[in-house]
Amino acid sequence: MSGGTYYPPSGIYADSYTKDMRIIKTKTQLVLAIAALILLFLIPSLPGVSAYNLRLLVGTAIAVIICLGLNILTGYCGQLNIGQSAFVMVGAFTAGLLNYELGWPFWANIIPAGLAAALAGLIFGAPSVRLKGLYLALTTLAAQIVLTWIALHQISVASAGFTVDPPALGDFWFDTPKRFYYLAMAFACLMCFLAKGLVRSGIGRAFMAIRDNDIAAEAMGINIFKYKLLAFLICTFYAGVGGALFAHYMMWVQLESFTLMDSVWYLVMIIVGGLGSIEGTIFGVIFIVALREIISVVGPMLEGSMPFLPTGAGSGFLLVTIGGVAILFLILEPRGLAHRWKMIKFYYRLWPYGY
Amino acid sequence: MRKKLWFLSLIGVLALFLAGPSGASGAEVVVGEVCALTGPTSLTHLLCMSGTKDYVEYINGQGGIKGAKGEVKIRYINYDSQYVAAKAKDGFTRLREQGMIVLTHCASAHSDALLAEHERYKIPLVTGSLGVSSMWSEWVYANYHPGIANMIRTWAVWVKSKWEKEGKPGGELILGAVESDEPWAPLALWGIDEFSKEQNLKIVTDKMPKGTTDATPQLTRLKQAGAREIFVLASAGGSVVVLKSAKSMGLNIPLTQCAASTLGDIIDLGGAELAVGYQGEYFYQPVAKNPQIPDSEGMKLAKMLWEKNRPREKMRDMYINGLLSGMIIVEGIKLALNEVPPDKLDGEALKKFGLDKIRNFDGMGLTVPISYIPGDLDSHIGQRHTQYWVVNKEGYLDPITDWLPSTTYRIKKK
Repeated sequence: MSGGTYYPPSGIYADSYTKDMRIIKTKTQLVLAIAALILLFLIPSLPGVSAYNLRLLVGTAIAVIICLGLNILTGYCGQLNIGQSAFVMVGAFTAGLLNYELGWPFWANIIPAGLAAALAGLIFGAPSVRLKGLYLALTTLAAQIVLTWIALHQISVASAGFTVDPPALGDFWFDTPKRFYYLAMAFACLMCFLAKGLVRSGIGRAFMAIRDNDIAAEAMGINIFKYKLLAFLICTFYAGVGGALFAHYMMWVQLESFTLMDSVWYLVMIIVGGLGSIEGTIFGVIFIVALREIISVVGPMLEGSMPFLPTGAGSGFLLVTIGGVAILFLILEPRGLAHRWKMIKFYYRLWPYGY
Repeated sequence: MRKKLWFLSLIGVLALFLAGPSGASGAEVVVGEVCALTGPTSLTHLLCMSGTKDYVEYINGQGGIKGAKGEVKIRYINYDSQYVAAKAKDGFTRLREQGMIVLTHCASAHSDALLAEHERYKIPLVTGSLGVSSMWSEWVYANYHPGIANMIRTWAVWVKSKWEKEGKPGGELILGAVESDEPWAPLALWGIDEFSKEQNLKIVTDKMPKGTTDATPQLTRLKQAGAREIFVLASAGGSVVVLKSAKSMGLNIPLTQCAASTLGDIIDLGGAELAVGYQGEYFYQPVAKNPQIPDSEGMKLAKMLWEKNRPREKMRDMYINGLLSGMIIVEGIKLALNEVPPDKLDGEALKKFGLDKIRNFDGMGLTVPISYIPGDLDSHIGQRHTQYWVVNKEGYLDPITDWLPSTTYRIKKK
């Protein structure tokens, strides 16, 4: 796992705990962070960036939020969750129904959506105190099935779907990809910042201690039950917030948007990006979104140029490739893209010397 | 060596891009399709997509579409939605940026999720699958299906008419429905109690758990409740389970398949022997019909196109669905070209001067004539007729009714 380890460049030393805990430690990092924010702000105005590209970026931002939560639970705390999409659904339905039934605006729905998903997470996370690994994974799989069943049979509009208003600030509606882009990016940055703060706090260290050896962690005085539940709560809160954003962005909520397959996608994203890494989460989501787009272009071309392939083979290429990529990462680079990123940074700092 | 490999790979990728479809010369209109090429419904969508694609390519091969104000060829582009509404919306945006003037697909969930986009960007939808909200829009043109909530309603009206003809045996009409645990199933039964009261009959429903391999308990309960006939609300896999259970318990109650699967698919999946006597609803001529029933001109064309493009694969019913969508789009463009020149042909013009002027269009005999009348939402449901077929001992389908009027119920908008 790559989380929690940071080696500052030679010559940079923190002389107080506060300085040591800073997210941005050097001027270079500060400049790069500001440059990245400016770039994010300018992207919609860059030539060649279409509404479709912006839709992809909005989807990426929402997926980053959802995967951050999952990485906190799975990557940092070591608790496997294969039902994240169900908690996204809870958030989306909560925000959507509050808007559809009561007319609540986006801003009033976002916290209740996160809390509703967190409550569901608490319920399904409770067995985590006694279960580990695959057994725990099964309870989260049960969450996917049970929550979907409840939505299908207890919420009459769930299968039909219903419309949701886009967010608004006064008369300004976030109802186009360009407008929503800024909102989604703001939320993604905020949630990244919160996650980054969390994992370097005492809570984050407790999560990592539990992940690395829960018996040793308990012997050190860490309340396993409390922290495991807290990890579930945070993970599903993130999912709920992502769900609320999704509902108000799509302006449409329906049950079929939250499947087990989506949960698998989220897991693949954090595995590819790097378990236990905030940067890795972002890399993983971007990598998978980009890979999907490339394959959606190349797949049909392959099919077209190879007439012996059966109808639809080009599209099936997507699942085969994504599955293959996940396996390759697990075998060749289990620490994910985040580790590669770290290696690049080290190389840059040490260049031209190899030591 | 490694550099050489990289270079060769790069050349290969470039070659693939260059080998892609070249831009058509002359005027062209863009027809978009958002379909789930991957995901749970990929087989259905692939067939549907193939039907539309083959037809527009066939029309292009014939020289394109000619009208009084000019002629055009069609550029067909598609996008894999993976049966996810969010991806469908992404796809709509992408296709619109590529100049799409009309969209087609066969996913009822997409019809509803994309409705706001169709109305906002004035791009009509021609589809085989109406959702719930989309039944309220004049931008939606259905080619065959009367909407998910009308499957059981139309069937109930048909069974009731048979029962009445027989002198109302038993005095009370009780019907059964086996409902699979699939997301669309509650929609099919939406407001069914109210409907039953209106029709003065009783519909008993029983749910079949997901993944079950035995529907005997459900069928037994429906039999005990006195169901005269049973409607099967399940996709092909669930329906085969119902058929196997019915056979094992010697059930002698007629079973009818809903449009979530076709009898042809069930014969392929469960075998002809199992499916003998099974009834199903159709909205166009079935592919697996008795060979003694003559092919319509549309069916002959479908068979020719399928054989030409996929000689090693078996043609299935959903191909006809896609073909019908393609036919309606082409007909709409042809009519619009009588009023507007190709360079002015956008989605709005296609709707106003093309699709809204389609009258008595039967897809070369594949279905009942369709007319889309502006201001008449019922007409946007399409042909509004259902025909019931049954599997015979040879594994082919025989019609058991003429074309019956479908019900046109709409789930109320909030």
